[in-house]
Amino acid sequence: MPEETTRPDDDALVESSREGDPRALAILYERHAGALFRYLLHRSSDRVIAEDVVQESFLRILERRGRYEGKGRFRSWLFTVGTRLAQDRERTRRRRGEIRDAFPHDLIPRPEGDPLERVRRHEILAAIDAALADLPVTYAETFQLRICEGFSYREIGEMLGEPEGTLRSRVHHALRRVRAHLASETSGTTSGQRTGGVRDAREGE
Amino acid sequence: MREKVSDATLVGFVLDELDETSAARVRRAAANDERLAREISRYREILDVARLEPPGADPSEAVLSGLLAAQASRSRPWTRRWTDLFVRLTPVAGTLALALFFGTGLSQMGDALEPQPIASTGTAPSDALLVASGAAARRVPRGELRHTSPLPDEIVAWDSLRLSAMASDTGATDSL
Repeated sequence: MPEETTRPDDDALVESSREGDPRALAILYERHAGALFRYLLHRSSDRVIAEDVVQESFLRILERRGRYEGKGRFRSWLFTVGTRLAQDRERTRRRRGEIRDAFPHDLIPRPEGDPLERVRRHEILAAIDAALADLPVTYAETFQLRICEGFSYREIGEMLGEPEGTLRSRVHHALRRVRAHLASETSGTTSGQRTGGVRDAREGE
Repeated sequence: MREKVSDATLVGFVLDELDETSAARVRRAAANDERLAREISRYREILDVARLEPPGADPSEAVLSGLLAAQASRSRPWTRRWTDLFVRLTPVAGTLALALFFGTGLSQMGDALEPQPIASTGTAPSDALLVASGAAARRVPRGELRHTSPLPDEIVAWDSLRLSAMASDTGATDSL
């Protein structure tokens, strides 16, 4: 396998892993686990669940690496696996009547800059979290995959099995909802705290 | 005259989803409409903040350690849920088992649950039991425990078997 300094691409790493190089998985993990974890953490608001799903996702990848077709789509494949495993977990939690915890406050980004700017950004974060918690999971996951993780609508469509138009509409709706929350917040009707919510209690769209 | 821009078009504009003609129309309208320009800037601010990455929001080292151990041993690591369940169950089962084994009362079990070093992988059942009991007693943050084998079901089954065997050996169940 080439040295890490040459930045082997994901496809080459999967190939190396298939050939038995134990370092390949670690490099793939270092490269993508953080983003997957953040996405899953936003979905579940539970560190333990998010870590479990990250580990399970990479295990699936490890088990099924022989089926990977390449074409530079490792990240998309990993998020597809992670999303499906998270959906399974959410179904189980709903069946058991478990509710989504509040988003862990120590993980709220602390934007830099002058104090007023920081307050403003905190208000926006609160509005995003409140809006996503109010929306069905499908809206929130589409918003996160598109806006926070930067996947294209085509990639998200393949992950979730939904037409691009539907996804586009979800992102628009989520963004408008964030804006509405922000408007109500600045008019003093909600607090500036991120609220978490009980997203799991709601079923689909 | 001001051009009218619908909310859907506005959102499409900030998300860069409009064709060039429509985007140019929104830009033109915003140049003549301060409120619209402010709305565009609000939406862009939201998008900027949404893309911020929380500092330190990374999975714990234990996740990678578990994966690498699983890769090497070709066994599946325990999930966090099973580890937590194990940690929750073992103080009770472990205390009971130790009480039966040593023939001591529950009040004397404090010493047996003293903190012990945490093994990271491949812990044998008996060690795992003691380690987890000790860890639970001193409230180790979740995430520090991650074993690769044996499987939790086997542990639970093994624990029950050991417990009943001890109970029948000592005949001490009633004393508890």
